[in-house]
Amino acid sequence: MNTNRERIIQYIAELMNESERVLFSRELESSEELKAQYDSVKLDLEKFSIGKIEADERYFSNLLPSVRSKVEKPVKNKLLPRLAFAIPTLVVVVIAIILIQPKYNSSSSNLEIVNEIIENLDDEIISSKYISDLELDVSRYYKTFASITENNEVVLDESTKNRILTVYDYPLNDELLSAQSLTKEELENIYSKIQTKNY
Amino acid sequence: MSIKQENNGVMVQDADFDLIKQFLEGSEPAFNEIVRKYQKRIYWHARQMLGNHLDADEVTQEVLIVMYKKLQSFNYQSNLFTWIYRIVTTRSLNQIRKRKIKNFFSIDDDNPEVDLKSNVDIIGDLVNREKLARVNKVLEKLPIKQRQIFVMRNFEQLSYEEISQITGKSVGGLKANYFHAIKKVLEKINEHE
Repeated sequence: MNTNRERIIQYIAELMNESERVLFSRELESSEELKAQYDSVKLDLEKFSIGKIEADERYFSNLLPSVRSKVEKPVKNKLLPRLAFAIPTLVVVVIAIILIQPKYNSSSSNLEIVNEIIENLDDEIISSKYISDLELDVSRYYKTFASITENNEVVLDESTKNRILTVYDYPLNDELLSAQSLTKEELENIYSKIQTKNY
Repeated sequence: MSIKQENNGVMVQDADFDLIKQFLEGSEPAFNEIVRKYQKRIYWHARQMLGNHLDADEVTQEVLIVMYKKLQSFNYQSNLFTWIYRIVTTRSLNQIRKRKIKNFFSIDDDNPEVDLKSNVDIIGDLVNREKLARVNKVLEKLPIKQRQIFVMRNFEQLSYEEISQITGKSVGGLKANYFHAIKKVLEKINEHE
């Protein structure tokens, strides 16, 4: 690209400062060559311009209704999808609570019963119970229990009661009743078994 | 700018401000009026920036929706069309960037979307269609900023001050961009000839 062409573009783009612009305007009036080049550039740019182009008016007539339909579309409730997840979760939680609740109640009511029973236990009943459920852990508790019994009195502190409760993780009512129904011979038989047992 | 033009500009601005106020007070027909007044200018600016009808249509609709939702944030400091133009320009540039990213990740060379875009048009006249296609072919070779300034100066006859208000660029920077845009356009025209 020659220098004149560059200056012409600068002139068109108004990139010249005031003095350059004045100088160029004077030169444009005096130089035919520069004038011809300037006209050529202007003509190229004019040829390149789009001018008025007729377009399908139906497009513009339909534009507004189309935009309106988009603007006025009911906004999707964003809460609903969240609820769709939350509601089943809530239902599951409620069902779980309902299922767990009776167990909890029964264990707490058992706790009261067991406490009451333990308060009234005597040695025979305890022995018979442990023999009927002879397990390693149970025997350990029994040993502990036997060592604190003196004068045939059952003295239990709270921690012992709790330890016993951990062994009896189920209602004791039936088993205690069955222990109470044992005869003296049967109990003696049980004692003898315990004595021969090597812990 | 002559006094007559200036007065006309002020009248247009006042009329626009009235329409905005009416719309913000709940008059839906006022919004329709604004759309009818500016939809063609929005479309053609988008069209010249993007080079095809489908993209221009998408941007035009987006702009009108944005106008509907955001007119309440209009601060009456500039005239309405400068505000609208700003939205059109931003959306058009975003669309070009989106397209570039899409093309970058596109593996298939025979993209049916390109054919669809060139076939769907609202210009019925074949001569005008070809003329526009020729212009677009040159324009799409320009960097985005140069294309933007070239379209605004050459096709829409906006002043540098107006373009500066729309784009937020300095007048000096715009002039330099326009200079390079003209240079490139002339080179491309000569190449095609």
